[in-house]
Amino acid sequence: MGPLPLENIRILELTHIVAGPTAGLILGDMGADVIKIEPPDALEPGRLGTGRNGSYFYLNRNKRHIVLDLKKEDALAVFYRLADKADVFIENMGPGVTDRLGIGYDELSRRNPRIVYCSVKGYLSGPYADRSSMDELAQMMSGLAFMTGPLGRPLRAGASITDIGAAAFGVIGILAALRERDATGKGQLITSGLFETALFYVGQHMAQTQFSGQPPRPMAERDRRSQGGWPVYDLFECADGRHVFIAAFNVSQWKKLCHVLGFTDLLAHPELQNMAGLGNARPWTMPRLEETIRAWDAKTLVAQLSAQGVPASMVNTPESVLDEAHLHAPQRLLNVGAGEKSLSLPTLPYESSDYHFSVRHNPAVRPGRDTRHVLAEAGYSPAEIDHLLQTEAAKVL
Amino acid sequence: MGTLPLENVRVLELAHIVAGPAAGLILADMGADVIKVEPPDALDPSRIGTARSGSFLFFNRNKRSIVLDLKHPDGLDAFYRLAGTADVVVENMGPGTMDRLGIGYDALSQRNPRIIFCSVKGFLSGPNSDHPFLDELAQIMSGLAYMTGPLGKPLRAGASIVDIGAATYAVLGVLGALLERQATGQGQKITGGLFESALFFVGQHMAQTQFTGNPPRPTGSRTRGSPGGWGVYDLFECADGKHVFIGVTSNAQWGRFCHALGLHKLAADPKLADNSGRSQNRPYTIPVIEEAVLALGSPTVIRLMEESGVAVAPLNTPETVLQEPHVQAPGRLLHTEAPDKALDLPALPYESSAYGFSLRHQPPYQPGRDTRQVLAQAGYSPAEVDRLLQTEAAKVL
Repeated sequence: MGPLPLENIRILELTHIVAGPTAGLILGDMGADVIKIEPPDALEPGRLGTGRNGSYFYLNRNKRHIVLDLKKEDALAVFYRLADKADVFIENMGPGVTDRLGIGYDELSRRNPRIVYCSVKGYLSGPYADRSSMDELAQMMSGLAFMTGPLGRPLRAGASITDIGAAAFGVIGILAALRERDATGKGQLITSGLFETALFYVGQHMAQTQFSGQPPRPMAERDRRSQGGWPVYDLFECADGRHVFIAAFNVSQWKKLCHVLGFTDLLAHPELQNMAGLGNARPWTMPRLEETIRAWDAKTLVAQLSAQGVPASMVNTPESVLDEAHLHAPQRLLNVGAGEKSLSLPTLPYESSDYHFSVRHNPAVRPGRDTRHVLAEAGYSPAEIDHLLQTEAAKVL
Repeated sequence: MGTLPLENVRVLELAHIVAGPAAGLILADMGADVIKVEPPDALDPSRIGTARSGSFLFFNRNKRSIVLDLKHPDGLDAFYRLAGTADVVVENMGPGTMDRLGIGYDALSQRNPRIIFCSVKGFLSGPNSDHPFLDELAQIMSGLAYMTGPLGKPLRAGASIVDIGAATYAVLGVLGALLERQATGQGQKITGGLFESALFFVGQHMAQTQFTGNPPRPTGSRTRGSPGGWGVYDLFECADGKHVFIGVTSNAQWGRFCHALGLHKLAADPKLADNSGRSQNRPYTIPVIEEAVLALGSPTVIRLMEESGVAVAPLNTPETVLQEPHVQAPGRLLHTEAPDKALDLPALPYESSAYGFSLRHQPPYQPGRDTRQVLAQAGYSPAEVDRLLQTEAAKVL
């Protein structure tokens, strides 16, 4: 396997919680040298010791770590020295914070015109551009929460899909900017928005409601039969109490399902030879499916259906998903060190014929783990580094 | 505004429904010349006239359309000729289909070593890599549906977030490959996985449960007034019956939030001075806040929160979100023409200082709208184009 695609790219990251750190995570996994900077008075709230500590270990692998007190002149000078040589700067601080610190886009690009500056913000340009936002708020405002929960009970999706999605779109903008820079020599400012990311997810429903003139209905309220007319698209309970989701989208998959369940009498049944017939027969086929499946072991059923090409899955939790054999194949999980523990966490969800992802740096449990190393690389002498540490412009906590 | 970043990139898309077309959409919006290739006997099922018409209009703007019969030797030859000058092929056909048609990665890269071949599949490599799969199944299998619904009632998120997410990561891989190709001259194969994308969304919960040893608890099972998480991070009903979501994520915000609602006693309560105190005391604070918010109309609540710098948003549907002034601001929506109507649909959720997004091609609701033009650009003479159309190797439907 070859080198990672961003091995010659250096990133500075001044981010916290989810959206910004995820952008750094993606770039770090893709091979960039990501240096995460934390101010000593505003350490990442996602750090060890808070309710979000697991999250910190997921989002901060493959980064080096330095603590700089950006309100001190010496630390700002260190930051500028790093930024002058960096390819990309990522931030998700509150509105106006980077300008106030003297590290806004105008300042950094004046010093280093090649820099690609990426802000992950609540909103893109427009009337709300200076409002703060957050994942769940974006889901509520975009219509996504309305579409997720039952009518009258809007629900957020059970993961930070807006934060993570906005990070991915920010990185898409960054990669395109790096490619353009190779031709023009100039960087640019990329901003990605949480609200706009949630809206992009909802775009299909916006199109549908405008096209059909019908108001949107939450997906949780769908009558599955009228929706797709699919023979089977349902959750079933198994003998072991676990639930399995089975989808049969056509007559061929329906027949394969019958084979697996031993419904040989249904194969030639005259009412079950086309989609309309299968839809109409649901009132009597479903109870039979439910009864039969209740005698099956969930794992065995999923294995047999999958082998026959019938889409099926266990209902997993973020814990039980680790039992899936697919995750034990090479490259599906990375072992990430979290202090004394080791966590099995997902790799980036794509693969290349040319390279593999790996853990090159564990998340820095100790803030400033790499402060000395990074400063030395930036050209500071050992005496100068000691001075920066003594004056607390830089820190190892 | 300057040129779009992918203006010199040509993409062939052989994709249907959501995941593949979403990858093509992102590349197309970024300026690539995306040519959507459809076989006459397997047009994109999301096309106008089916229940998914809104979906087709959202995911297929900025693409040109050509209909080629890939089972016809002349149609296959035309595809090879197009692929010979293409930079990227995007596909989400069933497992094995591209190879069977003679246009798999090996065949195409042998003809054009610079080609980047991007597949969006159900699974990345591993035991399940040939299983058929779908967005909702990925949510079920990854643990995301478990986390979204109330306990015991797994729910999918109300949009195709996994299809769109997998498309996003596939595009990240493609952009990484375009960067590498500048140095090496070689293309590569990129695969994006639905299951792995859902898992990447859930990674935070996987980290948390492994780190703490506590089993994961669905976000949908949180009840109002139960302690945990942020002190205020809830939907509230207003006097006009509308709902607003409010999130208080800092101590300074808490003070401003309380005073804005006239809850001076809460602001002064030392037990509530930090988030952990506010989180513990939700059973006491939330009903008080509910009552205060219920006395005010939603526009008033939103204005008060905005003035206080507290994150707030009304609960929208994919229909009502269009009325947000922010969504009406320049750049947020692209005007998309459907037969007899125009739809306002979201632009890509990021912006650049160097370029803006626009609608360059309407969605091709006529399959093969651009067949003649694309063939002519590929070097076919008018007489040759006529012959391809006569023999039905190519079509305009």
